[in-house]
Amino acid sequence: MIKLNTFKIILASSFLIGVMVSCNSDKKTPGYTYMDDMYRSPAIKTYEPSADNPRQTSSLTPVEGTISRGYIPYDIPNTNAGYEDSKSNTSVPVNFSAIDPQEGKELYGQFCSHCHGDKGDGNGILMQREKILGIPGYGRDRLPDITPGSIYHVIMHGKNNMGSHSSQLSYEERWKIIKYVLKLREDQSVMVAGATAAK
Amino acid sequence: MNSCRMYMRKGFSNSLLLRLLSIVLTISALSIPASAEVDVDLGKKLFKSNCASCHKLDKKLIGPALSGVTQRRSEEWLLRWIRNNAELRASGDADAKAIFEEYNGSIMTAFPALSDDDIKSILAYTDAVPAVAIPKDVPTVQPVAEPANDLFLIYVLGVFLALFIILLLRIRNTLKQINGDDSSTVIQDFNALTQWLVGNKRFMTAATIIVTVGFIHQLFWFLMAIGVEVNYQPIQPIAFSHKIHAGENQVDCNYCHTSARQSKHSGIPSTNVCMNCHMYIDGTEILNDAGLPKYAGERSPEITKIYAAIGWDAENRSYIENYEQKPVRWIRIHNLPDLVYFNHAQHVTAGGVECQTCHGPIQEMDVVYQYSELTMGWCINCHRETEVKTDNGYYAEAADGGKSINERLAAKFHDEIITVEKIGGLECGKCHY
Repeated sequence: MIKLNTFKIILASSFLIGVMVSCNSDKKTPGYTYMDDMYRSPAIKTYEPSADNPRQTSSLTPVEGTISRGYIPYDIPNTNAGYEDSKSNTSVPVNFSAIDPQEGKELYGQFCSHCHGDKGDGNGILMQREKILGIPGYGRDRLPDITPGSIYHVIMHGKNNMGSHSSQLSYEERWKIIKYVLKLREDQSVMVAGATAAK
Repeated sequence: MNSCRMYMRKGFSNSLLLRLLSIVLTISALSIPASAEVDVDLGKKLFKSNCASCHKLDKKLIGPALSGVTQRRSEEWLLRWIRNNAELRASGDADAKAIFEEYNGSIMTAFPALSDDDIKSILAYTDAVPAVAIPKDVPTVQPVAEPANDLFLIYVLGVFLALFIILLLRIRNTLKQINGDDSSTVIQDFNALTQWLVGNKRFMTAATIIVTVGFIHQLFWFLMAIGVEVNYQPIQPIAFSHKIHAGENQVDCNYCHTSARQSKHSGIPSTNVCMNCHMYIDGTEILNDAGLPKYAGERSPEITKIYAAIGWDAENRSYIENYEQKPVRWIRIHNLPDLVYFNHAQHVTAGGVECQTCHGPIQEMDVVYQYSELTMGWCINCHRETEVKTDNGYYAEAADGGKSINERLAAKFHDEIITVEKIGGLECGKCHY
């Protein structure tokens, strides 16, 4: 009688401990789902590994020669000569003069300010933390001869340590940013001129 | 700000230069006075804001390494070159032409705004710093208390506790024997207790109710949690830290996840976006807690993975031609079932919802995990509580009948707060179709 009870108790407590331990969820797996075929269709989902595709992933590069919607060609090559040429490139969107510089402010804050600074003085957070050095401000003293065409060129192709931002911004967004950069350039130049005059 | 200070400095030192020049002329003594204007700290600041994008001290970047450049070139030549190198090249200087050719015709920016003293300060800085970066004063490394030690302590305490219990039991049995009773083992005591409890009907009834209710409660929540992947935190192929990028360096979420503004998906950035910063930042500068270079002056192994994926030749600073790029196999964390439609652009751009509302404190996560449940109840709850942003112009436009949408909504809902629910945010077909 006593023997049997002891056995039962040990069995029951080991079962309970087993249940508790197995409740610990593993963070590395997504876990189970009900009715899996409702959740996961046979179609390949975004970023899913896929053995059928040549690069074993569902995120493929577009077919060569693909032109995305709203694409505006830009022919000036990514070379030093190309950069010089871009300075005299005056092809701007038809509504360029009508763009309010403030429209580009938010985009500037998202895509430029962590390097070039909120004021366009080349003193963004990455410069302050000395992660990236030598970032130019937009003032006339630092970049004397930039034009809307050359700013567009730099956004498209990058320059020196700046990479191309063409994949992150659409045509309209680039020009909105350029408009805001030109405004910051004026602010910077006025500030510098003021400082020079004040001495 | 920098340029501002630079100009003030220039004015100040120009007047000082004149005075000193007159002193030098009268005394016609040593060439020391130059050092009076030359300020290594100023040189450092100027170097970092003007030169460092293309030059490092100890290693070739876009231009040559600048440590010890004053030994290679005369000061006069350097002054002319830095101020306007194109002019110097045009004047037919052989050295200038040679260096221009050596660096594949990369055009160095002209710096007409820098004064002689500014340039001399920069040169003094390049001289002052040794080519090999010496780590900052090394504090004595304190061994961090390892968590294994804590566990060991618990085991030791456990052993002591067990010994203590055994000791107490032996004392009790000894006392019992002195009293003339039979000694008993723990198991015997335990059996006696359980037999008494099993015989007690009230206890058994109460115990059955408690156990049943508890079991059903647990079972309910266990079944509810199936298909909810909250806290899912897989190990990614590159140890990318959102804490470093979005938190410490404050890079905007939209910078990398560009498509969140315009499309259904908030895309994972392709490696060319990584390269926008990591062309320059290669991890050599990262310091560990002791202030020493974390990777002993080598590139970070994680950043090297980006280079391997996109085919970047870090030595020559160029992309390798005809490189077979290998996509990084990021593991997707947030998965909605196929039976539901969700659109990022609608929430980010139209709704103006912060990323953190759904994704949690991303800027504090070293390894990202799923913060929200992403269940239908969770969606619905937010749609019930969130007020629609009506200040974007669309709602102010006059529509049918000459009244703006804002006015019509106000009339319909008697000036109550307009939540997403009220403009149809709970309709089934909005998300399920």
